[in-house]
Parts: sequence; C-alpha cells; structure tokens
Amino acid sequence: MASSLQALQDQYFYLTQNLSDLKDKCETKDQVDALLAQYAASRSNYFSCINKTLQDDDPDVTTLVQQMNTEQKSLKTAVSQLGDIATVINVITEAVKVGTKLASIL
Amino acid sequence: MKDRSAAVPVAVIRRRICFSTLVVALMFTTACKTSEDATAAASQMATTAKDLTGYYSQMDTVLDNTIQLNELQSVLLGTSFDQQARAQMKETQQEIQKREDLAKCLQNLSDEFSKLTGARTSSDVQQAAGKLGSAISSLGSLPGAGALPTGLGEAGKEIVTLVQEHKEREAGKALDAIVTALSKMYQQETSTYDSLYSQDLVLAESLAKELVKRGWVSEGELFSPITQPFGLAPPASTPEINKILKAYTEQQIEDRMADQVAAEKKASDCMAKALDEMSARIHKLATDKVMDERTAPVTLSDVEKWIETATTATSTTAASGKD
Repeated sequence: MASSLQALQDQYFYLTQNLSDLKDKCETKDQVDALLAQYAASRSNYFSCINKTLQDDDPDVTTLVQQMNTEQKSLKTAVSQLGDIATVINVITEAVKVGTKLASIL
Repeated sequence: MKDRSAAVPVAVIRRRICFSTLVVALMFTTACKTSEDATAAASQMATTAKDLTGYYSQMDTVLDNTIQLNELQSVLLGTSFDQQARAQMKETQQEIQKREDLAKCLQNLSDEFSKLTGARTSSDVQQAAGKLGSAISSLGSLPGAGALPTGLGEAGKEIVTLVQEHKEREAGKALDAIVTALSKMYQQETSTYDSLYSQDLVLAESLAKELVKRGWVSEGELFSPITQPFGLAPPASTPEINKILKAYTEQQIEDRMADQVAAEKKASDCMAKALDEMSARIHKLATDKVMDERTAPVTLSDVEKWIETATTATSTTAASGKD
C-alpha cells in the first residue's frame, strides 16, 4: 500500500475506533467541538487521499509520511494514558495537521 | 516531480479499448487456425470481466453503506457529516462506478467475441458482428466516459466492416494491450480497494461497540448454540446479560470484522491473479502461440464466493433496513 494512504488510514481508523471514549473524556463543549472537528478533518484527509492517484515517491511526501508515523505514535501514547484530555486533543490536532499537509500535496 | 508514468488511469484504458475494439479481429484471425483457442479465451475473458464487474459492484454498495454509517455516526456521536464530506465519498463512489462500467464494457465485448468466433456461416458472422456493433454503440450512457462512447460506436461499425472484409490479423495485439493495462491498473489499486472495504467495517465496528456500550443490543442470539438444539427461545436482553456478555459481544464483533476484512483481501488478491492470468493467455493468442487453457482462471472461484457472500450480507442489511 502506498505509504501516504497507509499513514492517513492509520490515523483515521485509530480516531474512529477511539472517538466514543475520547468524547466521553471531554469536559467542556469546546473540547468536544475541537475533537469532532479534528475527526472530520482526518476523515476528509483520508478520502482526499483515496480520491487522488497515489504516487508517493515525492521526497516531500516521504518526509511527511515519516512525520505522520511519529505523530501516530504520540497519538497512541496520549490516548492510552488519557490523563489530560486537553493535551490529548492538542496531540490529535498536531497529528491531523500533518495529515492535512500530506493530503494536500498528493 | 511525481512520476506518473507507471499509472494506468481508467481514461487511458478506455482509450485503448476505443482504439482496439478491432480486437474482434483476433478471434477471426485465429478462427482460421486456432478458433477453439480464440473462443475459449473470449469466453474466459467474459467470465473474468463479469467477476470484475461483480467485485466493483460490491465496492459501490460498500460506499452507499459508508454514507449511511456516517449519517448514523453523526446521530450517535454528534460528528459532522456535511455536504462536502458526502460529496467526497460520492466522488470515490463515482470512481468505483467508472471502473465497474469499464469492466461491464469488457464483459460485453468478450461475450460478443465468443459468439463471433463460434459463428460458422457468413450470415452468422454478419449477425454476430451486427450485435457486437449494437452492444458497443449502446454503451453511450456510461457516466463520465468522455470520448469512449463515441469512439466505441465508431469502432463497432468498423468491426462489422472488418469482419466482412476479413482484415483482422493485427488486432490481437490491441486486446493484449487492453487486458494488460486493466490488470496493471487493478494491481496498482488493490490496496486502495482493500482500504475502502476496511474503512466501512472499522466504522461499523466502532458503532456496533457503541450500541453494546449503551446496552442497545439484544445479545440473546449469542445464546443460540445453547438454546437452538432444544428449541428454546433465547433470553431477552437485560442489564445483567448486557454486563456479563459485553466483553464477549465485543470480541464477536472484532472476530467477524477480521474475517470479513480477510475475505475481501483474499478476493482482491485472487481477482488480481485472475486478471494477470488472462493477460498472459491473451498475450499467447496475440503472439500466435497456443493457448490451451480451457477453463477460466481458478482464482475466480474465490472472487465469486466473496461476491455471493457479500451480496447476501448487503441484501440482508437492506431488507432489515426496510423493516
């Protein structure tokens, strides 16, 4: 599988599988809104990637894919600890931001 | 710079089909010396293309399901599913439908080829060629097909002329090019198809677990291995049963999802192998070699099995949705 799709898929699937629990941990409406906005962005990045011809031999893409993988690890760590939901949402926001950048250059 | 030279877009394959519907000629060329090989190849190609159509048709249904799941997720979890998100999924669906149409087009052509090669008298040939011309011309309703319908219509008329004039020899290479390109495109996109199928199940799985979490699922059926042999009715769901069976139910959901993902992956791999196999067989014919295989590629049976199972599952879902 093209590594770019794999990276965006990993993020989108992971957030889908954990969305309900993450939402339960939110303490304010702003946090819920932020979480759902990042989820929608991750889904959009995934489908955007699906809809484009996947050619990820571009060096920029390769760099971003590596960054995505690092972000994905941080995301999993943050979600598994689920201590401070505000921190978790920040990690998600950073990870989705990289995904958006990746989807936009494909 | 992105290297797109290896990519084989649908439009390119369509153009190749357009230019090479002359391909009928292959069958007539070989009809003189190896008509059995040609008839067999045409028939096998028709079966392969039919299964490819079935595969894409299932993917099309999956995307309908994905849209419904996103609507349900929006209701259950408050996610946003606006027109833009819907349009993005519709775009994916249209891409799948283009491939489905392409496969159907190839199936129709192959069907007519096999009839042409089986024609024994000049009137049979005329009739079969005429039918092929009509079949090709009727493809005008293909969505987003661009130049394809017009080009194919012209090619259809050309085929009739070619059949009448027996100028068919050179066309074999064209069919070879089409099938090779189609096989290459499928292989390049297989992981994308697998991903599309998985995303639907991942979303369904997450929502199924949400229902379990809320105690909205009746788990009584899970007791059927205990109750069924004795004609006993399964118990109605209670908070106690819900609590006791929660982990078991979630495991059942995960196991079934894993089985379905694996079955689709196997089907897509088998489809890729079948296309590759057909490409090799057509190449033999196109290069005047003996093509002695007389059955469709064996890996198609797994594709057919998956299509049948997936169709039954989606029919059941559709039926239960109407109730």
